Amino acid sequence: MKKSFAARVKRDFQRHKFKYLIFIPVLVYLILFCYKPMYGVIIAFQKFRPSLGIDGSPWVGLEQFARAFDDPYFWRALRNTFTISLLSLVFSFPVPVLLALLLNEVKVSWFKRTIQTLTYMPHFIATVVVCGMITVYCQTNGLFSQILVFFGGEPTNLLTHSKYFYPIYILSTIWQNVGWDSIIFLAALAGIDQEQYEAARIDGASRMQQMRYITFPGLVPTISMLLVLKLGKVLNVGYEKILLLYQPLTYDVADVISTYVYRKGLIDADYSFSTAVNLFNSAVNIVFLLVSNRISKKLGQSGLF
Amino acid sequence: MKKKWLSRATATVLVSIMTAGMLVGCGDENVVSSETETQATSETQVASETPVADEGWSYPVDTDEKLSFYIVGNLSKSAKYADRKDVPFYQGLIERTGIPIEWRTAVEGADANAAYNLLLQEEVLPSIMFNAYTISTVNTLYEDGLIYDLTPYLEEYAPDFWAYMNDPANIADKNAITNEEGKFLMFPLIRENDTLITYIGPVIRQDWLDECGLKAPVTLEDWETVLTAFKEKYNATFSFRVRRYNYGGFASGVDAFADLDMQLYVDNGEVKLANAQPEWKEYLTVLNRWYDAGLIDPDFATNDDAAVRTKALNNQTGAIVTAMSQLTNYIADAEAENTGAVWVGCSYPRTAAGAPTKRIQTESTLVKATNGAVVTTSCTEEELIAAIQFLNYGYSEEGMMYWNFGEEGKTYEVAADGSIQFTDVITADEKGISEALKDYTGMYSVGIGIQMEAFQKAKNAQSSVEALAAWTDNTVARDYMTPPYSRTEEEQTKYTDIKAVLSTYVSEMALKFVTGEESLDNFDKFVEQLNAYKLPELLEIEQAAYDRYVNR
Repeated sequence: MKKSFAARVKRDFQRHKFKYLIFIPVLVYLILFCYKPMYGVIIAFQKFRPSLGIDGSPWVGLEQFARAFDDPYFWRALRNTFTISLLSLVFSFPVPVLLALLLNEVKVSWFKRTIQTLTYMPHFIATVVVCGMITVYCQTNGLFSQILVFFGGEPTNLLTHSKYFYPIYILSTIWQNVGWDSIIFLAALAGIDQEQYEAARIDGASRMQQMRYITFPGLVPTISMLLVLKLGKVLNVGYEKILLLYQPLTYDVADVISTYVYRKGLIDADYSFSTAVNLFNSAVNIVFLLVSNRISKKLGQSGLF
Repeated sequence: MKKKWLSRATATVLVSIMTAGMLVGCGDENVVSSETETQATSETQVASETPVADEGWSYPVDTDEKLSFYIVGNLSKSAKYADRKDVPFYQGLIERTGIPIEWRTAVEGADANAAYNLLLQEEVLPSIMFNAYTISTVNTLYEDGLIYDLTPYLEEYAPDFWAYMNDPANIADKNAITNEEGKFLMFPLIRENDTLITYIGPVIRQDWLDECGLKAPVTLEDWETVLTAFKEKYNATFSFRVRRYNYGGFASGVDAFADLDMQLYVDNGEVKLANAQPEWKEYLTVLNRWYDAGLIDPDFATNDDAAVRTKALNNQTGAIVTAMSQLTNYIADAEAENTGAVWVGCSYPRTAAGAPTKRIQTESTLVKATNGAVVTTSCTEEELIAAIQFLNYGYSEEGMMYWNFGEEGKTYEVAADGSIQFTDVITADEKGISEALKDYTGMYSVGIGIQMEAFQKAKNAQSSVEALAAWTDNTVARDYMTPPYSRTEEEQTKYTDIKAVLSTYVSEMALKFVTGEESLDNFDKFVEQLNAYKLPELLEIEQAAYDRYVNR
């Protein structure tokens, strides 16, 4: 006999009291910072004036969206956002997985720990400091530029050339995040049943074979889930770093949606317009999320929902 | 078994890290804090000798009204005090005007503009708000019914401000801060003199000039000679950073009106885009030639003040266009490191010796009105009157001295020849003169009232005074600046959209032209593209707004 919904909830609650307890702060966060502000999205359809407030500002329908689509730089920003996102997926996403796999094979614990600490550390350096370092190293007489000169390049300021922007951006992002991002994979690795390795060893599997047939498959669910999550944020390229690294000479490759919104919304104080662009942004993200989730399920991997 | 536990532990740690991150975010929500109330220190009203019937009132005012004063932006406060109620200058201000004020501001670390925009939606606003207002923004507040029209009260309750504004000599200021119907809506900061609105200009190594046997350069040809000599002898370049407010770079050398970003200017009553003019092409041609010859710092596009300062210290540059505060830094660095470098300010380039410069960095009359205080409709009429009396103080003779110099005998002294000097309280403060000025005076950056030329003379080092004199010497830059005209709401939207595209395009192309990535043969194509990006429409809007302003 199937119990009533209320009864099931009650039982579930009794069983998982502490899980619910842990969930409370998350719930509060979601309500306060994710659901409540959604009300403000309606200013995307208004000509918002702070002094009139959300209730008093005049409605303009889709005018703000039309303004964005009319702007030649909007499309460029959109293209650059996709480019940077895809490059990050292709180049930065696999590196933490690799690092986790390698660390997993290291049996000398002090060495493993040292490597881990060293790779985490950049994560705790503020972006503005990282970018300050990059700017200095990329100057004409800076470290990176001089290394290039050593290999036969011309002395130049690397940040003023569009062709160097993506490598600089992607490589520094990998450096910043590789250690931190590998934590979750290490956690997943720790969850793989040790008996499988034992059995494999008895069957005569080499370490490479163990890695290939046990460790890697053990990681795949985590990888596919993170990949789906990543695709759900495909248009959210962090603006801080780009804002700190770009300048007019590299706008053509570096200006992304978020920096575009920053210039329009915060510098020109055009709140309605930037909200409209952000809303568009979210819509695209949702499409990506749904599609990639679907694909992930089709391929036999676990989806998010 | 152990591994299993470990993974759970890891998961728990992860969850708590994430939660912690989220909770940190909460701190931003409560952006507006009210600084605790400040009582006017009790003082007995000095019996006024003038007949009561005539004037009606005098400072300190006898009032029971308590006002709140909200500050966005630069109204000075040193780092020493957390709260304006503890700052001697503000305590004195309350004592002298007799009007009790409760100071309010956004909490430390919050984004001041976001906090201000949230504040505007509150039911009850502070009595007075101070911000980087322009007449346009203030007029919007007025149309939305948030602030009072001050005009009917000024003659009686702000006689000093009224007298200043009705002096025919100050007609430009009056036009800049009244709306199109001629209503007074705010009390602005007024700078007494042109030298107070310029703070950026060329600086050069005098010792190198002397060693090379060269004179201070006047024309761009002179500059080229000097820079080439510096390059050959010291391997040093000409350095600067781009994107500065109302900045003209070396454009004055060919009568161009913009450096490497978009600038509008007025020529004989016609609004023009500086970047579409042949003079600007000429300017870029010079810069491009210099860049190719290695005379310009190859890092100029990514420079910030700190980067340029390092180059100055390391003898990598011998000429810079920079701000006064940076010049002071270079001099201090040279002294501290004992490099023997002698940095001095020198004139902006001219087309010929004796010709006036048409573009220098200057804030125009505009900035006289980009900071100011408004009185909100949350006030009762009595509160409104008290607020006006309070805000008038900085324009009165006595109040002006207090806002600029503090307390006579304590923070400043007037010499026999009438010149004003700060005392040791200011000049010998262990935190430095600028912090001391913020503690005891009110005009360090912006204030309410008149910022006096004498204040700057008393405040600045001799080198800065000389640099300023060189930068502002024989200039007609003001005649070519766009005045603070206001656009209608419809115009404003169009203007914002077009300007955003144009300014991005201009700054991109400007740098490409200089570095040679884009050939200057394509300048005509560049101008065509500007037109395709609706430049004519923008100029039409600006011209209409300008004409309305002039014909008022």
